[in-house]
Amino acid sequence: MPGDNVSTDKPKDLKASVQKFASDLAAKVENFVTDISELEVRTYTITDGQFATVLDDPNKKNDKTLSGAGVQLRAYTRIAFDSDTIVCLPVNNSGQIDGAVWDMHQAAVNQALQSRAAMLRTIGDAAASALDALKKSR
Amino acid sequence: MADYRFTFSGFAAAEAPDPFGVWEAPAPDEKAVSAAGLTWRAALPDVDSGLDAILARTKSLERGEAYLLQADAELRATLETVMPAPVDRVAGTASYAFSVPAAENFHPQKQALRDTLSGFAALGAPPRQVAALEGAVAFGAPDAFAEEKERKGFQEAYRRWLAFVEQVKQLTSSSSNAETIIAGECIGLTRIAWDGDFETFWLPGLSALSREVHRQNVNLVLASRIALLRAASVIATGAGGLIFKAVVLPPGAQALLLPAAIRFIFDVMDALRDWEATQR
Repeated sequence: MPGDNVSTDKPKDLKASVQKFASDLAAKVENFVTDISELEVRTYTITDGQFATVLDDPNKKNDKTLSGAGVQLRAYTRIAFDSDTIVCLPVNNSGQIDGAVWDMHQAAVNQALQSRAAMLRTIGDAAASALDALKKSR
Repeated sequence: MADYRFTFSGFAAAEAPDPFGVWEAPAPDEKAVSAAGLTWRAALPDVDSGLDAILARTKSLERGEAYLLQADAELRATLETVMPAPVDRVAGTASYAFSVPAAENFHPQKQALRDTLSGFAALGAPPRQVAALEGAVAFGAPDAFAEEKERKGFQEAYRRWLAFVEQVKQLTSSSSNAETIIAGECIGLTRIAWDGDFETFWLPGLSALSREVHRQNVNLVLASRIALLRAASVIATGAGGLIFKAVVLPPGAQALLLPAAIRFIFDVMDALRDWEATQR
């Protein structure tokens, strides 16, 4: 457990920990800005009882899109930084848009967009606060 | 009575309590659906009452965020009362005069903060202790506290700081799984990558209400992640304020005030939540 050896057992340095905390957050903001050049949202349906089999399949851990027995990609949206958007719509067997899946997918896209904006803002604030505290401590 | 469980797992410091009081550690036999990443699970007895339970937790998180702001304001107000006291330099030591009126709110928390500041200040002057502090800042300092209660208080604060840092680190590097379990069956799982990509897995043929339960659960998870990161920001800002006041501390010792800030902020939030519970 972190902190168990807080007294004298390990030669750790709290100041170093604080510095690392601040610099990690700052690096995270930088990576975040680089990595959010596009946002991808995928909506799947999955066979009952197959969650663990599909999600933790070691053979598919690097696959961007999961496929195979028990899982089916039903809708996909990719939004690029310049707002170029690709949307793959879910259709049923008769070629009609599957309203239920489409509603779920749209809700997820909205959540993802709002979440990413909030995360970027909040991590940026935390990094700025930590760096400011560090500056004062010098 | 129906059992509603809101658990989070996968954190290296899983026993660290959620400062917002929304999520708890899972029981030992409770396993996440997916082993990868962090898991935030809402386990609900039925879909009808499940939505109300999630919305109630969302309100609880909102109150927790208000407590965070209040704790931040209390820390800022307390800092206004922290003053170096040159009168106490006779024995070569510096200390702080720190007014804490007896009838003031959060007296125990402010008293604990005063004890920590006094402990740091006492470390400030004697050359032998300064040398020790500069040599091994983090682990020399807690043992150098004159009072046992100060030492223990700092150790606890330090432990919370490490656990919190680990939580923030994992939050910003691991994916989060939002699981919705109804009557023991997973109906929806959303995997949120740290950079914001979403993957949602649904059982086919779910009712509109079931879909709404999962959607609201995902909202709760997203809001919880943001709230923890906001807490990091408030704690760092509060520590910055403490550092600004603690200018007489030896070089490097100011960083020790971050655990003092986290302890104060979380203790005030706990006190507010306890007070709210007594009002029900």
